[in-house]
Order: sequence, then C-alpha cells, then structure tokens
Amino acid sequence: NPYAGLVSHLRASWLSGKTRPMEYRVAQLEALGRFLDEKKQEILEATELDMGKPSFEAFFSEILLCKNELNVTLNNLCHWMKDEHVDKNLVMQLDSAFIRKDPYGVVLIIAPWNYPIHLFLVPLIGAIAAGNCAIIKPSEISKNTERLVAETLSCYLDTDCFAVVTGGVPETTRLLENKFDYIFFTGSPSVGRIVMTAAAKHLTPVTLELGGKNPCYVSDTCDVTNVAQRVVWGRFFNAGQTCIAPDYLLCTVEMQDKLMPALRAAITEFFGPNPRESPDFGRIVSDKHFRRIRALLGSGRVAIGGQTDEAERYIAPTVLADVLPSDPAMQEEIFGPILPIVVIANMDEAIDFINARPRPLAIYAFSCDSKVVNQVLERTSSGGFCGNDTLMHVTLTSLPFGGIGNSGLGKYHGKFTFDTFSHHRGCLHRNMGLETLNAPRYPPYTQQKLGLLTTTFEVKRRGTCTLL
Amino acid sequence: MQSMQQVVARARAAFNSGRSRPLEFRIQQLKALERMVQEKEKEILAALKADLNKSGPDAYGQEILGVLRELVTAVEKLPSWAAPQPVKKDLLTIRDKAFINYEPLGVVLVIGAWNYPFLLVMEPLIGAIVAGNAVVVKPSEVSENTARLVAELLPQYLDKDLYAVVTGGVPEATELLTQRFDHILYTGSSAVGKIVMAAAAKHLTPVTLELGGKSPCYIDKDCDLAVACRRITWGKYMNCGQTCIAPDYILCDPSIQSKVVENIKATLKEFYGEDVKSSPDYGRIINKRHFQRILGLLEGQKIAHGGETDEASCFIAPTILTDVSPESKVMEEEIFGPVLPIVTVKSVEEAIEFINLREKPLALYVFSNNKQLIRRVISETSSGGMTANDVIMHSVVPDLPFGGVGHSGMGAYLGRYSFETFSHRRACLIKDLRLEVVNKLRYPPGSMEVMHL
Repeated sequence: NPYAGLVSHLRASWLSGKTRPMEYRVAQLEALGRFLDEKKQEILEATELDMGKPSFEAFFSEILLCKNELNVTLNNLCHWMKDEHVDKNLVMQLDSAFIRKDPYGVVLIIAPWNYPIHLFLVPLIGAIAAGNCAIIKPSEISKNTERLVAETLSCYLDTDCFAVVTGGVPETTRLLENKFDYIFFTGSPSVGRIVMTAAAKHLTPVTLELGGKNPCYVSDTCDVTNVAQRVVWGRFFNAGQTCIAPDYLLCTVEMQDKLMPALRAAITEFFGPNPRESPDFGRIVSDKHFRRIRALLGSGRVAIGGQTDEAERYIAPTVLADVLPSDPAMQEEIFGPILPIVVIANMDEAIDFINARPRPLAIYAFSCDSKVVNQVLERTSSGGFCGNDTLMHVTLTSLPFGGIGNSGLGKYHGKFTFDTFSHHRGCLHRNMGLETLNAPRYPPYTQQKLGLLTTTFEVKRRGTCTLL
Repeated sequence: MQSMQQVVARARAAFNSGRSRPLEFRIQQLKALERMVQEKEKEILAALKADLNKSGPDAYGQEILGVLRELVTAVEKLPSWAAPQPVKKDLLTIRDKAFINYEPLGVVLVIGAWNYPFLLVMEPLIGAIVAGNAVVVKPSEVSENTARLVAELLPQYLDKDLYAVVTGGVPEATELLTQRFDHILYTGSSAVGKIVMAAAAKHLTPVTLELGGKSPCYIDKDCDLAVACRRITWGKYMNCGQTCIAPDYILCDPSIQSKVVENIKATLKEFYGEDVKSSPDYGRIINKRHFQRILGLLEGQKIAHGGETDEASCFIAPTILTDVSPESKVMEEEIFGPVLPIVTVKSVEEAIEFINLREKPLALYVFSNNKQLIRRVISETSSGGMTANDVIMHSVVPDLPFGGVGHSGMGAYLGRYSFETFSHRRACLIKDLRLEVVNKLRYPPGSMEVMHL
C-alpha cells in the first residue's frame, strides 16, 4: 500500500489535535486565499493550457467564486463552530443539550478536470473549516493544473495535515484502499460507484457530485432573445464542459424555429463570426473527449456551427435541430459545446420526457408565465433547479449544491460544505442531582411509573379550539 | 409470495402516481399508524414479550411511547418542515426567488433490527412517510413475532402499495438489496452495514447506517458514585443489555473499582429483587446463538457479580467483570448482553487515549462533578452521540440527531432529522426573464477590467 505512510502521517497529525483550534483553521484558510491571489496568473495559464479556458471564465470560476466561498467561511466560521443548543423537555430543564460539530479526521477530496481548482478548493475550504486533515487528488487529465497544485499548494498549507497526491486510475485505486474518514468525489456516475464501493469497505461516508443530462425546457411564451443569451452562456461556458450546463433543449417545433436565429445571434455576439478566433471560447480537454463529442454531431441536423479542428481540439459552438431521443447526442452527457434540440408538443410532454430519464443535476425551465416554471419545478426531480436562467443557482452560497439519484448524493457550498465535513454529535450534559426525577424510569416497572413517564416524555397534540 | 422486484416495482409505481406527496395524505397515513399503535397495543406488547421477554410497562416505555411521540411530532411539524425555505440572496440575485424545496426521494428501504424490533421499524417508517416517500420495510427475522405482527398490521392501516412489508432472512434481504432504492436506512451490525453500503453503491443509493460498537463509560473519582452507578445499571441491563447505546464497558481508577461494583450490586437488588430470574422486569437473550456468544465472552474473566446462566430460557444474570484486560475477547466485540467489564485506567488522559485507539463508538458516557473534565472528554474524543452524568438519555432529546460516526454508522434520524434524511433538499432559483441588463456583465466578450468592477 504505497499511500499507507502518508495517510498514517496525516492521521497522527489529526490525533495530535492541531487542526482543531479556530485560529489554526483560519490561518490555513487565509493561506488558501493567498494561494488564489499570488498564483492567479499561474492558474489562468495552466487552465488555458489544459482546455483553452478563457481568462475571463477562469477568473470567474477558479478565483472569484472560490474567494466568495472562502470569505463566507471566514466570516461565519466562529458561528458555525459553536455548539448548537436545542430545546429541552420538562425533566431536562437543568441539563444542557447541544449539537457539537466534530471533525471527521482525515478526508479525501477527488477533483475532476473541468474546473480543476474550484472543484478541489471549495470542498477543501469546508474540510479545513470543519477541522479535518485532507488529501487532495486533482485530476491527471488537467495535467498543467495538476502540476501547479502539486508543486505550490504545499508552500501555503501545513504539509503535516494537507497533502496532494498525483496520478491516474491506478494511483487513485491504490489510494482508495486506505481508510479515510470522509470521501468527497466529483466526477462521473460510473466512477462514483467505484468510489462508494471502496468507501463501503471502511464504512466511510461520502459525498458524490456526479452528472447527467440537464434538460432545458423553453415554453412558447418567452422572451426569445433573453432565453437565447442565457442558454448560450450556460451551454458554451468552458466549451460545454460543465456538470450543470444545459445539456439539451426541449421545446415545440415553432419555438425551435423562433429560437434558432436568436441562438445564432447570441453566439455571434459572444464569440464573433469565427468563434475559433475568440479568446472567450475554450477547447476540449483531451483527444479522447474531442473524438467522443465529435461523434455526437451526427444527431439531428447541424443548424449552427458543426466545425471542428482536431489539432486544436476545437469544436465550434453547435446547435443541432430535430434531434431524436434515440440519437447519439441523447445517449450520454454531452460535456461539450453542442446543444441538441428535441422537439416536443407541449409542457406535459416535456415533463414526461424528463421524468422518464435518470434524475439530472440541474433542470432549467424558461417561461414568461411563472405558472409554467412552477409546474416544471413541482412535477420533476433534480439536484437543483433554475427558472429563467442557467448555472446561476450554484453561485448563491446559501443554496445547497448536489445531485439526486444518478446525479449524486450529498451537497455543499457555503455552510453546507462545513456541515458535510463535520459530524453532528448529539450531546446531553445532565445534572447529577435531582435523582428523584429519574425514579419513574427504573425497575420494578409499574403502570403508575409508566403514567408518570408518559406525562413527562410525551409530546401532546396541541389542543384544537372550536368556535361555537 | 411476491418477488422482491414486484414489491419494489409496485411501491415505485405508487410513488410515481404522486399520491404520497400531498401533506394531507401523509398526515392521514401517520394518523392511521397512530390508531394502529393504540388499537393493537396488546398485540404489540405480546409480540415483544414473546421475542425478548419484555414486560408490559417496560416494553411500552421503551418502544411504544417513543413511537407515539414520533408520530405526534411528525403530524404537528410536517407543515413547517415541508415548507420551502427561502435563503439569503446576494447582489446578483436580489430580485429573484431563491429557496430550498423539500422533496421526497422516492422508494425508501427500512431494514429493522431485533433488539427494539417495533421501535426500530416504526421510527424510520414514520420518517420516510412524513417526507412523502414510498417505503419497503424489512423487519428483522430474529425477532420473529414482531416481524410477523408488523407484516400483518401495516397493510390493515396503511396504503398497501406505497408501504410494503417484506419478511424473511438473509437470502430475502440479499435479494431485496439488489433492487434500486432511493435511500436505505439500516439498523444493525457494522459487518452487515458494509454489505448494505456496497449493495447501495451499485445504484448510487444514499444510506443511513445505524450501527454499533463498544460505547465506553468513564467514571471519574470525583462524582456521586451511588447516583452514577444507578444510572449506569439502568442503561446497561435494560433489555438484558441488548441496546446499541448501552454503556458497553466501564473505565475507572482502580481505587474506586470495588465501590463501583458494590453500588451496581445494590442497584441491581433494588431493580430486580433478590432473585433476578423471577423478576418480570428482567429480559432474556434473543436466541441461543447470542446466548452462546455472550457466554464465550466470560471465559477466563474475574466475575465480581452474577455469571449465572440458564440456556433453556436464554437467561444470563446481570454480570460484572473486574480487572478486565484490554486484549481479552470481551473487549474486542460489542457485548450486546448483560455483562459489564471494568477496565482500570489511572487517569482521564489514559481513558481518552484508550477510547481513541478504538473505533468510534455510537455513544460515549462520562460521569464527573468536574465540568472541565467532561468538556475535555467531549472535545478530545469522537462518538455518534454522548451523555454526561447519565446514559441513553441523549437519544430521547427531540431535537438531537441520533446516529453514529465511523464504524458506528453514518447519517442520523429522529424528529426533524428523519424528515431531512428522507428528503431531497433541492436548490431553486427563479429569475425574471426580463432585466437582461444585469446579465450582460457576465457575457463574452469579457474583459478583466469588467471583472474587477
């Protein structure tokens, strides 16, 4: 077991108690902030090399959103760490009942390649805030970022408590043989299963942030221009390589016709007449993914875009019209800059279509009629939901971010990350006196004692009041 | 006999019909359960007596009271629990609606245990129903009378398709676990917990595992020994020691060991009389297998009190072992029986180290007049839950989550925590389709200058 030494070193640091004091956690979090500030340029460059990530996007997702999470945590850590006192019943009035937030111990964070800093850093913020030690396993696919993190993070964080492990599938498999006290995984459902199975061997709790096909329903009553801009932004951000990107559109054939010129206009406005030359449009991360996504172009008909360049791993912002449910683009999460449009007759059909499929990470619904948006919300199930926009629900730190069913289990962001990495321990500190109050519970058991016990412990239904 | 696949498919179809979602429906089902508990009280107590020799008041206090309380709470609180929860917005979302929607997960599997066979099936069932799910219940076959009763009663009171009972042993449970559920709550051993989680992993099903372990009980020299020992005796020997949060073993200074033994002996007499075997309030071991297992733990031990057994009735007297070696068999596994080992330690530091060298327990107990010492034990150890200066009681505080950590489990339930365990918290953001001006900032072509606004 090549990582046994590392894990036991971290566990020894954990047992020493050094990660518990608030001052320590704050110091480590502030160091992470300095990492983001001082290595900003390197982060922008690495992610550009890895997937042509436009600087604007990289700044937004890898720096700005991470700093927001950091600041929310630093601003509230003291409050979050406090014991939460709870209501007590009659017998316990002199006792103290509270919930403690205990760290788990040594946690493992496995990050993917598409937002390679954000997706390890935001979980790490919560792990540190909750008082844990952590091993970070960045993705080997975004190899420039992997190298940056492996080489520089140790200059900022306490290396006794935080370590970076690099490598691919074989290394991750060996790493997962070790016992961790929590595992946080972001990636595909199939690897999610493998991670959870490995975790089961040690009874390690997990959070799995997975994916799926996020449907985007556009009703007939809507502002076509605004819809097009918001959908184009969400779909083509990071060249489509976003777990919460709108994966496919559902609308009537009339709306498809109305949307097409608006989508074309939005794409041109954002990326110019030749997106290949725009500094604001990314590239596909690897040859394997490039070929995978290119093969999906043979679905429906190419209405916008469709151009590719293998050498650059460039796929143009593409919209496919009249896509059938049986087409290749509808068989897997696209994770690329292709937006298929599947035509349906009406909202009910769209809802049935969505409900016939695995529950996605996000569902989007666009309509000027709020009743339509509410219907889609009420009648479907997904990790999260955003009405009349894309992606934005995950930028609000007060909302939990996570999946359901195939799209994942658990949630994070803001306080939810802190809660994810803490064990909520129910504590009762009783008074040694007043032993007579305990008498009804002791044997020999009698009906009379039971009556007393019932009176003190039961929850009475609130009385109803009838007006005569 | 329906196949597991058919039962689960029927529950799923019933869930997909949407009828378990309206709050009125859920309340109606919960009230039906309340009627069931009230109308069938005699039958339930008879089953508990047959399975575990629990006496009437004992069984009522341990199992029925808790269930009734959970039902009343669920019915009262459901409207407030289920209400969409608005969240704090930021500048970008100030004009939007942002809230958390509580939604059912789908089909929940509840696997019960045999030691509180009615309670441990009903409490999770209540939680799953209140959150709007369909439920498949698999009571433990070891407590066969209660299992049979639950299988008979639930269909008489609840929607038959939404809430199904499956009976059987390991083969049936294994087959059941191949089906896809949307949450599994399992109460039982760590060994089987691993099997349940591995099966759940195939379907990416979230799990709540209520497992066990050896819950330590540290008695400080500075404490009212008489009171401490009475409380410990109560928690240890209730249900004949077969309680997941029973104090498993005692840690104390050698100088007070004999006083501890004397106090417990005195309390035992007070509780069960001179002849424990004839006390109606003292239970029995669930079956021969566990009887033999616990008997084996006594080998080579110094028995300070008790030790009498009777295989025919699965009777094991309340037993205390002294000067127990940490390496002995009785200190390796969860005892789950009326045997209380005392391991001596010279200081609270030694006690804390002892506890931390072992798997995280479901409960942890410390008795002391010294608040500082108690605080120290709490902050330097980890456990599912804990009580200071008493045992068991943290599990009856309505707003405390009940669950384990590490080997003693994951997740929590009871009260509000049941509702949250069995619900999906869906993040919702509803924006206006107009006001595109605000969004322009984020669209390409972007520039770093704009970003620094």
